[in-house]
Amino acid sequence: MIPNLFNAIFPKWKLQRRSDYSRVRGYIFKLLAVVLALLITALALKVAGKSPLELARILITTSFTTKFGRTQLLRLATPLILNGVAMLIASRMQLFNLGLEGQLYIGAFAAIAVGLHVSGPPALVIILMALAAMAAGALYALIPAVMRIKAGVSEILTTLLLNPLAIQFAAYIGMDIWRDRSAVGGSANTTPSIPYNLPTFFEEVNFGLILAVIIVLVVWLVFSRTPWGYEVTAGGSNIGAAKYSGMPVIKNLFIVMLLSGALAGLSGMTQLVEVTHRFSPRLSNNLGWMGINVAILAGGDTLAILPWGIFMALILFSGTILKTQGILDEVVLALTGLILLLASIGEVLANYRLVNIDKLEQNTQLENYQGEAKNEALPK
Amino acid sequence: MTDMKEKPTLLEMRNIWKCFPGVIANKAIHFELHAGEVQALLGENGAGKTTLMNILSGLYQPDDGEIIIDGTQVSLNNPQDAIQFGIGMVHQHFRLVDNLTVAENIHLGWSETPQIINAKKLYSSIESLMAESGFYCDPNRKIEDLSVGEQQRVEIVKALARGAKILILDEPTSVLTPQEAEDLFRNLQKMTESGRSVIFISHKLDEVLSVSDRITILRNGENVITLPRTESDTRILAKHMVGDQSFEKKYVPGVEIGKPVLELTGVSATDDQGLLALNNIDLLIREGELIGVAGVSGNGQCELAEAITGLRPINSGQLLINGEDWTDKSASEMAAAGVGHIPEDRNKTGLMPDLPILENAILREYRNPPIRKGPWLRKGPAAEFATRLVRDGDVRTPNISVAVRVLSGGNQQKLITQREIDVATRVLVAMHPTRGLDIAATEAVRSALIRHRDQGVAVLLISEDLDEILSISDRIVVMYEGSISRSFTMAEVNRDEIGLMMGGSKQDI
Repeated sequence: MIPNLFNAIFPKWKLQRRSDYSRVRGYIFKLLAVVLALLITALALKVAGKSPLELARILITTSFTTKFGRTQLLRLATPLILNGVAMLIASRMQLFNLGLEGQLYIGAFAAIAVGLHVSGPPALVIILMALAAMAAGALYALIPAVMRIKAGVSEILTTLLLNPLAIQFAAYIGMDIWRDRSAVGGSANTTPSIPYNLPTFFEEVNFGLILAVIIVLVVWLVFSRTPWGYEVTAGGSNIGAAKYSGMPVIKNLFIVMLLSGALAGLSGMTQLVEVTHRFSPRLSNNLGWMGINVAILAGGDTLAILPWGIFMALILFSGTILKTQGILDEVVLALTGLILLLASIGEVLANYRLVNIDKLEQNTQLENYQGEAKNEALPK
Repeated sequence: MTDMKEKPTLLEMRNIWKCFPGVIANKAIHFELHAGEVQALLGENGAGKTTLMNILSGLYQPDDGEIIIDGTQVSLNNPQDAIQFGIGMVHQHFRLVDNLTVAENIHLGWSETPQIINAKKLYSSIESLMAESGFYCDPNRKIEDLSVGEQQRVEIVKALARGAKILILDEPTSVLTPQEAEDLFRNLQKMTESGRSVIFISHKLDEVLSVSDRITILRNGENVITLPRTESDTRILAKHMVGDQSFEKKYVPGVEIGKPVLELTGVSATDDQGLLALNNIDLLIREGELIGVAGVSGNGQCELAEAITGLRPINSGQLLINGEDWTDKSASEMAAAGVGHIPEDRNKTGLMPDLPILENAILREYRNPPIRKGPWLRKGPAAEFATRLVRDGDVRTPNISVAVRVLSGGNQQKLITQREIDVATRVLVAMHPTRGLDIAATEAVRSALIRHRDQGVAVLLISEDLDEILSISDRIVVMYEGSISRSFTMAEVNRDEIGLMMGGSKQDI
């Protein structure tokens, strides 16, 4: 698509697919795309009469040099990383879980249900909340999983359509049946606050982030070093080959989808306990969706979820800061879209090179020669 | 078939170049076609035949060169252009809509299709067309109900309906029974009498000799020679086709045939649609024996391979390995029992093309130590294992971390073959193991099968290529509509009889 378009615009030049794939080149193209997106945004801000450099300075200093900035950033990064890894697990098996946002809400609902209605030692209640959130998220992901595996319904559609349902359900719970009636005038649009908190390390690093990092490391280990991880990779790469080898493909599809939902549910719980403490349809603010962005930016690379999660948190956090400078935070949403668009294009372009039509023949001959050299056998 | 010089030149392709990333598919190729002739385009896989014909049919644009039809230079920018100049191509894989009828398929995307259509009108216009051309099948039937041979006829009529003066057939007989192929040849001859020409892509020497007036041979994307049929025989053609490589087959039949290894008694199974695909199959293979299963695709061969390798449940009957009951086990259990399986389609089932060689090599071995240790998959032993497979199987690759997709088809198949040989300590099921390979890779795979047979393993070779089956099997069975014939030794059968049994016109000898 992109190469065809390109050839139509520049007839003298041709985009030619590279015969090799380099991971480093992929990273470079993605970084260039991010830089380009930032430059375009800066230009737009400049046109609007703001100073992009000044805004960047404020953003960097607030985010990194103040304790408030750092804690906010990490708390924002936590659900992004969790949802990023949730997306990545599913996409390992070619499942596209676009229902993270909904699973997050259902998870948070299970957590608030435990938090409000179960009493006991705080540590126990918190553990129960986490387990309930993961179970609920997994159950909510079970619906599309069953529909996909038993009836062949695309999970892209079902997961997507289950999102508004979950959010409306959250509205019903938070703004109606479990509404905080003790608030002044009895008019709060959320549930009552839960009295629990997760511990913080070094006064800044929230427990949820530690958990998210551990999960990323475990997932990385599982995918790169265990037979089950290999089965998932094989199933995602070619389901026919996985079946032929006798792998339990259907079972793995279920497990992967449930794990993805469980992690999204867990992110709802951490968001509830570490950030909002109350359950309402404003709990997440698109964190599940942004998790998808994180996974796309990370490509198939599990560990890359961490830096991209923090980067995406920085972008989202800049919205809060821009607001203090009198700029609508919709700018940030546009920026995330721009980054995603350009990064996706960059990822495709990383597989191509630009050649002049006239030189095409020479190049091909050269490559042919290299190809032959490559095909030598391994030394006996 | 009379003196060629009297026939006018219909088509000329001059100095055709076509490059793809990493390969030059056509190097300065010249090709000339007379009116009313059948010309074969002969060459190994990757010789550039299909590329050249795709250029002629407008699918590819040449990087350089001229195409001259009826004395005028033309540029064929898309298939529509080619159709306008009277060029019709029947691809190896048919491009028909399965759930439409024959008449509807022929009218699809045709400039002469009436704006307002009704089934009767479509039917009658096609009916006469089919009858005239000699390529007949009922225009009211749906494509999915037709045999492969009938579908091919539809493709040919589709091209003729659009006014094709030059008909290109890409390996037309690879899917036909010998009898169907003969019908096809007869009809093609008839067609040329009306001044139409046929270009016939093939790598089967016998049929090339029997059907074409002239034969053009390509090798590595270059012209080798164009010969009239009268000046060639199989030996000459083979020599030009493979170049200086020695071309000789010597297969010694298995001598040390031992005790029964694989035994099927009364095995029945259904296909994916739930229809009976295996009907009461009895089959016995002994140690050190290679049995060939002949038959036209779709007569239950695929289901047979799957039933033996644990991929398809067995409805009734029994499967014994070394006398023990292994009926209805899973694919991984069968692999553990020593049943290897070279599957039909290396890209759909045999390999994971986007993953590196290492991941593909351990596909069957990852459950076993030393690659698996406790809960871990160990990269070191996995790499050692993969390196060993690559070495033993003579897979040409720079290293084991390149994606399998960049290997040539031959090297991909050698990797699968070696991997399955490693699994197959008792039984090896090989389905179309050399399909689409060039001669060198074909020889490598066949001799690997033979070597493995000589190690005392029972080998079941399922192939559409009758020559292959005849050249390496110790005994032969024929499959037709889910049933299997008794097994014949090579002395008991000849080609014609097998051909008749494949076509269902002879039950037994």
